[in-house]
Amino acid sequence: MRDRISWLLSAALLLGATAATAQSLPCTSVSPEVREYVRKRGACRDVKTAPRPRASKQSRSSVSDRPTSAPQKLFVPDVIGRSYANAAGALANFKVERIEAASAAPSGEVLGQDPAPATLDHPGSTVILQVSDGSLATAASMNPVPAPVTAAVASSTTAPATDLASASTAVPMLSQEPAVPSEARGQFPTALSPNAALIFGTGVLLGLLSGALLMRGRLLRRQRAVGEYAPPPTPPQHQQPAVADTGRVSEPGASFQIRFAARFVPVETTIVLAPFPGDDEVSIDESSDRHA
Amino acid sequence: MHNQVKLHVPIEVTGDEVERALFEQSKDEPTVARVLEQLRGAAAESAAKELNRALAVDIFDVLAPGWAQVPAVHRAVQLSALTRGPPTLVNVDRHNITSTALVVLDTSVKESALPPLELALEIVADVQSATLSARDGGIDLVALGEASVLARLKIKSVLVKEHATGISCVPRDPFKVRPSSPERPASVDIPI
Repeated sequence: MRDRISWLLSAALLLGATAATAQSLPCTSVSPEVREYVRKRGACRDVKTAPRPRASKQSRSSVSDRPTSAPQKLFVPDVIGRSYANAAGALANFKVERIEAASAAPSGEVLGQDPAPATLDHPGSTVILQVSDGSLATAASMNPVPAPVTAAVASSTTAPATDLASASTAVPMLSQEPAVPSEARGQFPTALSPNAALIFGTGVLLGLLSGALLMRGRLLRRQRAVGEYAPPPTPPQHQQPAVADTGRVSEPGASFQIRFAARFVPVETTIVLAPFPGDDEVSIDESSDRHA
Repeated sequence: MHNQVKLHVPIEVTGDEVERALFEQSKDEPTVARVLEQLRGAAAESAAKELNRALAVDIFDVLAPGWAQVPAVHRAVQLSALTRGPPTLVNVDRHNITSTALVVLDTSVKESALPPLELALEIVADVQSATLSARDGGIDLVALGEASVLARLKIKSVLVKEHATGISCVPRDPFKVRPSSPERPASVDIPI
């Protein structure tokens, strides 16, 4: 099973490489079974057994001038985000050209590369690396630039291409690489942008204002309700009740619009003369003292 | 003169008693029932203050109409009105005088008048003896023996306040010539 998988993988590699390079590759490095399979597909050329195409002298001479094995193209590795020394090591098969650029990234960090990662290129070709000089790192640390939400996508696209699948993804060019600190890549922004802070602050202010208006309305309603039923805190003591007819008018309740007036209305008076014990009538002594 | 006759303890009502009276009134008066809550507390205290002012009547004015009904007093007053001369003294031994009156409390809430609260005041005075003088068609109290007063304040048949106290009077000289003044203590209308 394992052999079958490795066989299929090798075959796929050969076919893919052939399709990519558009030329036959020597099959010396593959197993005989794979070589046979690929040969049937016509992608592999055996140096010894493969029939040479018929050609004229001119063509034969031209064929003899060509090298038997054309220089292989290599995938340009993704070195964005690495240090320059690390990137230079990874690009040992290429000629590296360094360009300094002002950035908030740490000094020596590769900001971009040309050609883009995962590009097939001949060994020895020039790869231009845009390297940060770290001149804006201090300013960035004091006023950090929030990483955009797309940083996560950018980070995934700028990750080192270690396989063919990731190598097939597009890599932004030099001018497209966002100048953000490497530690900010792929992270959700923790600080708010100035616009977001402005919107947030405006929302807080509007909330406070609406809350204050709501509370003021409730207080006014409560004060109105209390004023209808509660007596005044300090009723005027100096005011004398106004006399109306036989009664009097009470002023203390005037603040809550309640007035009282009381009057005394005699109805009937009777007298009962109580007899003393043993007497039949009440003793009424009428004085006859008349003085001149 | 007459202000020398006074109750030992004046008749007064409290705010709670006014609230009780208003509650009894609200049973028959829906208008009062609607504003009963507003009439409680401080408002009831104000109403009680007004009622106490109305209740501070001169007790002599309450008792004089009763004394005037005594035949001897009645005759003496008639005579004094016809002839100008020294006063006639009349001594009335033990007797009871019952006086009924209405104490009316008019209330308005927000300029809207409520049905008046009518409290019936019944004063029963038990007097051991009283010496009266008749002069110029009126009577005056010269001396008063031991006397007590029982006052009841009712609304309908419900007793709101019952108050018992005594009466004190400073004896005075009935023959002392008084300057003629319009403030006669008790004028009794006697048909001639």
